[in-house]
Amino acid sequence: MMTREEITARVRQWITTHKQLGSDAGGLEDGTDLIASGLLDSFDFVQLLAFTEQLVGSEIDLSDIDVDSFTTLGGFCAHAAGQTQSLTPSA
Amino acid sequence: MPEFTLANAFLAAARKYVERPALVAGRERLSYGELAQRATDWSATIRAVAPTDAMLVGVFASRSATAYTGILSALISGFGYLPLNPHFPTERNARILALSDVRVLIVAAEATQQLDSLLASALQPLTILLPDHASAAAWQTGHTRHRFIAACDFRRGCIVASGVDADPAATAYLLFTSGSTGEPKGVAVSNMNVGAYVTHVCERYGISENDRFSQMPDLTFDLSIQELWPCFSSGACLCAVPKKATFQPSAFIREHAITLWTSVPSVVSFMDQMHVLKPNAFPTIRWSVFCGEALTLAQVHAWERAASNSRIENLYGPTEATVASTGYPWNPEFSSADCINGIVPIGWSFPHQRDRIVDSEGFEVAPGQTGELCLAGPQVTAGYLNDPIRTAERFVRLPDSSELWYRTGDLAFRTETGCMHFAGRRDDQVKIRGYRVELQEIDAAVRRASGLDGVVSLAWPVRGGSADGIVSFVCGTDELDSLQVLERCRTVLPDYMVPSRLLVIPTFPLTANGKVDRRKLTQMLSGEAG
Repeated sequence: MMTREEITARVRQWITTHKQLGSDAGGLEDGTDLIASGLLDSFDFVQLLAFTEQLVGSEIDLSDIDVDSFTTLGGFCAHAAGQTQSLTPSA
Repeated sequence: MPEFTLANAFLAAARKYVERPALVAGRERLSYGELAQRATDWSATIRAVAPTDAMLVGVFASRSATAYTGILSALISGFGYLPLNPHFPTERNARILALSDVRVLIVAAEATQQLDSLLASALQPLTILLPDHASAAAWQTGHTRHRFIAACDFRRGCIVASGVDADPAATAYLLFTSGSTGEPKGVAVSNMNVGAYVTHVCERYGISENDRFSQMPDLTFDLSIQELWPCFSSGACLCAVPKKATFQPSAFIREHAITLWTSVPSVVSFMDQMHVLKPNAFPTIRWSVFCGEALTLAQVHAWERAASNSRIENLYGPTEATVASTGYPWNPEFSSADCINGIVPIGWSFPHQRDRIVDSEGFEVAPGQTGELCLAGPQVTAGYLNDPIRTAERFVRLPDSSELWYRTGDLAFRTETGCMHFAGRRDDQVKIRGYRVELQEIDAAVRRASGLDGVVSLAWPVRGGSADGIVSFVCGTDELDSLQVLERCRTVLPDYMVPSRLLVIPTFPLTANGKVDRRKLTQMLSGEAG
């Protein structure tokens, strides 16, 4: 199971590559709103979602997301990590 | 009983349903009484400052309480409204302002960031109403050519029984559609035009004060009309979808117990790809209305699973004939058989509207034959703003008819039952190495060959008005065997129509109005080539 930090690192890398951020990637903070900042549009976001689902190995449920926090880098990765943890069988 | 105008319809509902909720927009919750009082106050100011020969008031805003109040205040003042989207390029907004001869502009908080550049580009001096600002001093100092009035200087109005100079033939709103020449075309819709539409829609969907409408399309898109005016005419509640929730509106639909949902079909595909169309996810929706682009069978199935208590209708119509003129009510038991190539029909004309499918000479074609769809009736507008040439091209007399018909440029055919099917655009025809090709035919072939619903084909690369080939975008996963799909296409299409490539993408890019953004798809191809 991937940790939130691992997911964040891979997601950050995906955005950096996908949007060809190069040296601008330093501005990509946990609080960066991926949509409001104009960094990603709905098209990019679904691609990011597909990438992340592949990464964590499961579908990410967005039915009841908090739209205010979900579109930040940190919020998105926390949601993805939370889903992964909830799918892990208890010992 | 006064004649129908948008202002009269709203004010009548406001008198009847004073205490009922009228509007939810962001943190604001306004009852009909509160909304009517606020709009009336603003209208007193508009009437005091607007030139006597003005026809329209601009509203530079986006789905906020100020946006809706501004629209209502313009109408109550006896003017039509011109919506301007703060997210559109300044040059386009300034051009629209100039074409419309707007001299009074209501500016909401969400648009003030773009106001400086808009004013710098505006050709005419404007009176700017700033209802979200306590003071206009800073603005006035920076822009001496224009006049600014902040909220504290607004007058107080007295709610009257009906709007001032409520003329049914007067323009209710002016919308701009993209023009093939690059200059946007203004379509002025009268109170009479929109009255015919709103009256019918209220009856068609049995709208009452208990309904709760979502409001997602931008106000510059005529699908917003389908939400605002049946709602405000009936005492129902309008729930504005916040910008962030347009991205994923499922929680919004549940939180606001939406009963009447309107969107372009692409929104359904998008939500489906976000995995939010769970069984019975939206139990409160009782009518789901789709319009603006082809509705697919797969979209209907995905939506009816989530909105399991809802009836579904596919509407069709151009802005020039006021939102929609035909409808196909979906019947879960029988309708699949009516679909052709996985596309839902556009159905039958509304009872008060008329349609003809005609050949190049304007004569009606036989059932089964494809021709250009022409529309007539009280919803058909008078033409394009200050553009007699394009008006004469599109608004015509047909043989054996004395009335004015709007040539939609859309191709259609009807079955023996009279049910109409959309068959592409007259002007969407492309030439591939000299051969005439309809892209929709290729879409249908790829759809069948791939078993996937989302297919958009583009002529690519285009040189000198002709294209070398076709590239088809398929909405799916990497598991799709492109070579096999193309092999299957070769069995049904002539060589020159077989796509040179299939590009598999997880979802289609959408325009501000939620339609598939063909320009962005083309840019993807340009990016590859560059």
